[in-house]
Amino acid sequence: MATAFAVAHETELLPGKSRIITVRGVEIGVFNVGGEYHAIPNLCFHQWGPLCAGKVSGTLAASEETGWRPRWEREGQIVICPWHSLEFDLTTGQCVAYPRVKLRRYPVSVENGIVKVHI
Amino acid sequence: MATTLHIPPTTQTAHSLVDADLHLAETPADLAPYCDLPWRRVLEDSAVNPPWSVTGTTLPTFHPSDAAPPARTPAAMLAHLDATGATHGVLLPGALLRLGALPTVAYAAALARAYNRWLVEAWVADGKRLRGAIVATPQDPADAAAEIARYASHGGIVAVLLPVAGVDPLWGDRRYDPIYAAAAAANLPVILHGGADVLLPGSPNLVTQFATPFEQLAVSHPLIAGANLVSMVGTGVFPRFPSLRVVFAEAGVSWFAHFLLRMDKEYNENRRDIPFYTDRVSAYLRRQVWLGTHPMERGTADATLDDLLRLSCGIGQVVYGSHWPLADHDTAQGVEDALSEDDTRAMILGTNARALFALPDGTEG
Repeated sequence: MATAFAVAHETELLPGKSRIITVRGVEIGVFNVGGEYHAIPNLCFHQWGPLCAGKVSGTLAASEETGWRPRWEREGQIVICPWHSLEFDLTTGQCVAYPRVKLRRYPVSVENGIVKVHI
Repeated sequence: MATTLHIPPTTQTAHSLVDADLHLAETPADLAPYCDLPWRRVLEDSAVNPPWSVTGTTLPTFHPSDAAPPARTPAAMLAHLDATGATHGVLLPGALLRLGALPTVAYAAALARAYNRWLVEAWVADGKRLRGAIVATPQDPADAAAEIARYASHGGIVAVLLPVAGVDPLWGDRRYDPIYAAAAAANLPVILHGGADVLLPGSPNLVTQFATPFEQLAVSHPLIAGANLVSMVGTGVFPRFPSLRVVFAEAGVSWFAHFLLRMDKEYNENRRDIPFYTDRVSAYLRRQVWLGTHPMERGTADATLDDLLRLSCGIGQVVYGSHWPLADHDTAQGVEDALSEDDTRAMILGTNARALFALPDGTEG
């Protein structure tokens, strides 16, 4: 049974903002991506860097669809680990570099204006 | 015949052998009848012209003077296959390994066309035990692509040779895309093979920094193979041409482990520079890259060569090549001795090359 933990008032977590909280000894980053909340562990699998302290922006991709030219995409939903620059999609937990690596994601709800993460 | 006795029969291996690195010794006189005018006149000239006059070394190398004379006829080459126990041989050029250093584009393209005609008509016409790699002219990718398409369905042609020595820019440049597209369409692997690399322009280093053959040989082939590999990875050759198979010959195998592991590390931190990749670089290279064994390197007391290969391209992507008739060629026995596991030996000495070049078992056709 998950327990809800308060993260912040929603006015403190506007789109583009994030907050790191510690719950039961586990650090969790909660992000507002375009009005939707996403929560992931503040831990990069690569060398255990503080992932959620990283910058949020977009990423570059190139495929047959782009004529193999780099294209900027997913602006605002990619967090970059501040240690070695691994990128993760906040909306899915998917690591951009490694298809088999996906972060655990925690449910987030808003009750009476309070953003809560469920663990 | 005398020339084939250079390698004694005792060097034969029990494994079914394919030699993927045999060299012809094309001369201007060989190619002249196959060469378009006006360039045929250059080959008929008594003066020795490049690439034959580009020696690649200016120092006495003290190589043994009894190096095997090259095979001048298919019969001599077949006798060499028999003497070494190989069912099939893949023929590569000699002097034209330095084709990439020629500044005269039309001459370079004419030489490659002449070599390809000569190879197909004089050496691999029956498409049986002797197979060949046509030469691609880096200076004229459109012409090279047309040559690949021309010979794509010839049974004697099993690969496309990409000269490495003197090539500028490196093989990752997008100007070479037509060559990769043609090779992929023809389902022919490309073979990057060096030759006097460090001494020719285009090498990513200063030649004056390497004064002796010891220094030049230790650094030239591995460094330049690595430089070309990194260049190809950097422009996304592997994901952009997912069916392309790339063989690095003449560089040994140990260099590849370094570049593979290092590029995975750089992918981790600089993925945005190569956004063509959706997985680590090694995941692509282990599907698309093969290594020739020459020059054979050895393991150490506490780590076998098999271990190193597993760490790099994988046992399934290494193919034996002797580099005969050059003085520093490797025998199959020498390669067999350097490996520690029998399954590994069988794959490297024959099975892998049969799959890569679509060669049948045995000596029939």
